[in-house]
Amino acid sequence: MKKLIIIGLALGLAAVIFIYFGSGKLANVASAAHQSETVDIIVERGRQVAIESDCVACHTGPSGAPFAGGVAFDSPFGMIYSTNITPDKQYGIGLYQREDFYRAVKWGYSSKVGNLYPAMPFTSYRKLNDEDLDALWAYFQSIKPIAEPNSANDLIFPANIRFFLGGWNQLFFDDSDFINDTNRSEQWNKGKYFVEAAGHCGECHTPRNLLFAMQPDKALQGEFLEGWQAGDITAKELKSQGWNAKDLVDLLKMGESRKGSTYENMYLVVNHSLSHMPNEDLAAISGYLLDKDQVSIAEVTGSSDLQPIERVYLSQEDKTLSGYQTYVDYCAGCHGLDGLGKPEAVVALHQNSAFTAQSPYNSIAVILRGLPSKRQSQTRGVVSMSSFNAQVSDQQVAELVNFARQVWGAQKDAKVNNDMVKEIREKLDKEGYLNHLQMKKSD
Amino acid sequence: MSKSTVNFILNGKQIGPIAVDQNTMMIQFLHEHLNLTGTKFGCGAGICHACVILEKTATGHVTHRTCINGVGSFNGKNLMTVEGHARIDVKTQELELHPVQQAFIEHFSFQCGWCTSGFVNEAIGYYESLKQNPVKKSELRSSIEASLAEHVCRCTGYVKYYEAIEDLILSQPELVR
Ligand code: FES
Ligand code: FES
Repeated sequence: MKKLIIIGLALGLAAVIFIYFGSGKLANVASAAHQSETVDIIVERGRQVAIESDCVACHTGPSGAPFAGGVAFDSPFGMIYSTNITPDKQYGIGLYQREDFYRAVKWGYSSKVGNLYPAMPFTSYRKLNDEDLDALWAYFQSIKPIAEPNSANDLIFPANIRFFLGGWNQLFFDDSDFINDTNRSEQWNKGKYFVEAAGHCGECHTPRNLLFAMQPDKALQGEFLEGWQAGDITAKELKSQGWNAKDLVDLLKMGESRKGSTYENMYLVVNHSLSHMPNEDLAAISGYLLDKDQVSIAEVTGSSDLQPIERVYLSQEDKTLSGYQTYVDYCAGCHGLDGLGKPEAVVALHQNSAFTAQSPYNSIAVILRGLPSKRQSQTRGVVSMSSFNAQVSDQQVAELVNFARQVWGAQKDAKVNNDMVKEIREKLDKEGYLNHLQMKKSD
Repeated sequence: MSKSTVNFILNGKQIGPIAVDQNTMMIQFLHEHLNLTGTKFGCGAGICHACVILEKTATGHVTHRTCINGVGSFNGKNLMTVEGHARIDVKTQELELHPVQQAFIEHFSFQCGWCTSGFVNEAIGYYESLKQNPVKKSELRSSIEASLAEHVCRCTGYVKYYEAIEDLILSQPELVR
């Protein structure tokens, strides 16, 4: 408790400083004019920015009414609910002026309730340029107002005092504009802009400190989220794993690639946001993530089909490795005796990023947790994976993951040991992530 | 090809230890080594649940799909297939089906019967679980549906399967609360 009070006081002091020094900036909202463009064009661009920013994922709640809020976020400090951002005058942002919208999106400050919790990724949206912000504002004025009341947050002290969030902002909020690197290509900068601003990729993929602020010096190096690891997506890691631009575009566009499939939160990001973006933008993102100045559209499209899985068979020697028998007993029925998977049903394991990643965390977690089925389109989907928590020992998981990393991930280290599995199993259990697929009865 | 050892109890009998090809799936073993062909192979991909068999554990029953699980994953288990549920009455020498099987027949629950062995095993596991944890009467239908939700039947429309179990359970007041 004492610790919480000290944190509270520190944040309070920082809040005063922020309000004193920062308030001038709030008022200084640039006013870009779009004289030459018609409103329709601006609104359409705004709709696109809303897709890029994935607003719908957090602001469309259980009622299904678009942008009416109500999505619950289970934070370590309690429940936070997203709000109604339709132009409804009573419950939404119908009484907002353009400046109010700017403050909320770029500065995390609502004229209705005060400082916003950084669950709203204003720390990334801060990098949006004024032109996109204007378009977004025009779009949110054009959508249907929905009179849906907001749910009250349920947070513990000191997190329930919004005033302190000003302190958090003062300590951790990088209030600089997006920096265009003139030494790099236009396409590379476009990708950077998307990744840092609208795409807010760092919100999940950048490690956070003890007070849940992103650590800029570790940008995109991976972070734990709801019992998974949002992977390390730095160029160094992606290159070492053998990702190419087409793989990334496949994954962002279709939720699947030669390197594996997206699940859970990233699956939603693909469905709501990335899959609706033009190939040019996805090429720019892949270029930035791989640190390449130029990625041609032909390179990432060619055909709309996924890059085929390499049909690499296990050698007799591979089959003598410890871990192979566990693989046959529990995994091969779906993934195939050689890990080739089944088209449109089960992912292939050769070169799968679960095994090419430096961190073995997700490969261990997925064996213990399983995965829900998913449908990416009318013709594309993946069946669910059972939780093997009750079936396999720590040693079996360790051997299995080391085997898979070696034969499909080209990693020679036997990095995983029993203690590592035990620790992850206990952590997942404590956090309630094991056997979460309640509907799955049989294994 | 390398061999692995199989060793479990099936329908009350000890099976093994015997060496089988390392890559053998359980359904293959049931069909080809034990000549138990009552367990059906449907999709072969873990989706339809036709191939489900039952495991008796210390705390209750668990079901397993045999098309996607290697025979080695069943070692040490106490298992039942569709062949193992009926009893011969020692006095009359008549075949006595498990009440779940009897209910399915009385309700004309299946037509081609391909899905039936899976339904029988899942429903028996569910029925037995109610002996420990009776279900609220008001939740009976939804609990039956949840327990059989993953079993695919392409002939009957499910209703007769669900009704058969519902009738059976309601005929035994100790299974509901
Ligand atoms: S045959 Fe096993 S699930 Fe369909
Ligand atoms: S009775 Fe034919 S599939 Fe069920």
